[in-house]
Amino acid sequence: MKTGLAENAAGAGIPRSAGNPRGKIGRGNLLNNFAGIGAEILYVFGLMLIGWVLSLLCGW
Amino acid sequence: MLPNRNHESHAKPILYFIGVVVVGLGSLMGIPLIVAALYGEWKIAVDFALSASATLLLGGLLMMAFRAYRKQRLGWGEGMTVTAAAWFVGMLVCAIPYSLSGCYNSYLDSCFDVMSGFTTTGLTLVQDMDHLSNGINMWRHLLTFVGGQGMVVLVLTVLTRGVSGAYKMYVGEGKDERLMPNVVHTARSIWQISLIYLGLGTLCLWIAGMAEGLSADRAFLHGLWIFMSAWSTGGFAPMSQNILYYHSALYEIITIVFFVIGSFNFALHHAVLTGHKRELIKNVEIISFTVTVTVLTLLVTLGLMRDNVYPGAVAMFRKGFYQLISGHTTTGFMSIYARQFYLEWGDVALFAMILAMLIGGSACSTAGGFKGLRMAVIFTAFRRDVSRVALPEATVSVRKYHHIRDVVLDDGVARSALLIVIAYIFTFTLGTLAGMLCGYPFGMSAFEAASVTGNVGLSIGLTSAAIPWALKAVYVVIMWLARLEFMSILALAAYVAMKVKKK
Repeated sequence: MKTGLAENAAGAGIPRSAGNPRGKIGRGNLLNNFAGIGAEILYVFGLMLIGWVLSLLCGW
Repeated sequence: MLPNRNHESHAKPILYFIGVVVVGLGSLMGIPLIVAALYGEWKIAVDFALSASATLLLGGLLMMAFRAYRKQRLGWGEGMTVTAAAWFVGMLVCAIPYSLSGCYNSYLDSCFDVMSGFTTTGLTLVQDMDHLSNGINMWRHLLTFVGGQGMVVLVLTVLTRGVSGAYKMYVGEGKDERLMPNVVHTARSIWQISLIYLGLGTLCLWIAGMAEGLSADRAFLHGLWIFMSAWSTGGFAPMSQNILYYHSALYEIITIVFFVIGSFNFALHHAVLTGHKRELIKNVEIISFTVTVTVLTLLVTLGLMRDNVYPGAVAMFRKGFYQLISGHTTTGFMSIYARQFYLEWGDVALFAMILAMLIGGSACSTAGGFKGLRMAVIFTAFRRDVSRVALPEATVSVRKYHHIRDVVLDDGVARSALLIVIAYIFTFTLGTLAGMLCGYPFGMSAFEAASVTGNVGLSIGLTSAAIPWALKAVYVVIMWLARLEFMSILALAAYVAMKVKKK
């Protein structure tokens, strides 16, 4: 695709990712979908753990 | 950036696509209409019926008048002009039911709330929020949910087929990642991801609400609305005390989970949900987010500890960490009263909050702010330039970072990232100045300006129906500018300037 000035400016500094066009969301890939959701939730709990440890250190 | 010189012929397709978006928004009013009717709120149902009729009539007339131009190819300038103009016209029409409901002091206040919802900011000027009808509450949260995923692209992908300028409008909404080769499939993927989480999140919050003592239907509606707000990093809530109303650690934990996930890049969601779970560890945007959250949490907790604001670790986590992560993801949910920021938190914690709100969440997500990816790009460019100074002149220094795939840092990308960050800082400065010119102290003005610029919604107590109309108008423009990441609105301004110049 030609990169015009406007295209460059919008979403500036955001490198365009290729994505994964073969990946599917919905029927046929539900196991992967739910494993992915589980992984995302796990990450947030990790983040909360950091918050909790820092709160514990400073609030003790 | 400028639209085609032959702008006379391009005004008509722009008006056609604005008509399509207006029709889409008019159709959307059917949802709160049904909710209002189900709960016997007949006055509100009539308001929505009248608003939907007027909106559909306006959109239909525009579509019919310019139907011949529907297949005309749109350039980048036109595509972005459609997006910016559609958001503005959308604000005007979506404010009609608010205005008719009598819940707002003026039409400007209604427009403020619509723009706050569309841009997922979450600041509100509504009167007597604790007694709002279910229909109006549904409309508030629906606007923020739709605005978060991208209103123009949703409408265009649902109502039209194979629009040549759809990708340009998608980029104009501040998103620039193709999850799939085709923009229609990309928009569909974004909506699939959001709807899967909508089911899961509403269920969790519904159960939590009932566990906290809400009746089943009230717990369901609150769960649905809070999820819509959390996922879109919006910050609206049905009660004036926001999340503090529930006094529930469970509710707080569930909302943290969904607003943090909601602030992730849709390309990252797509990769993780299609089997690439390691992306969560390798992605530079997630690394950047984790680092900034850790550093800023430390700053907030140190600031709160220094001023002895909270007595123990639990209070520190539920108040300090919650507001910080809510601000950093640009959600704006609050578990304290707004004035507590100003009266209790102290300068160090407020400084950390302002930084967090300005940095914001991920690119191509529902979140606002500079975006973690831009922070990572600028940091990587900085490291590369420092290493260039240290290495012999002939050495070629190449830096890579991982975002879905390994990307070699490009000077153009680094420069653009820096320019957008400078634009955000400039807008934040203007917002702070506007607050001070209206007579508010520097700390309050800066906090509220950061909240508006980052599309966050946390308030220090400044935003209310009583603030001067000029400040409300400035905040509306800043929310609009920041959400669309400046370029679409500059394209619209250039287009209008060209039209005026020609006359």
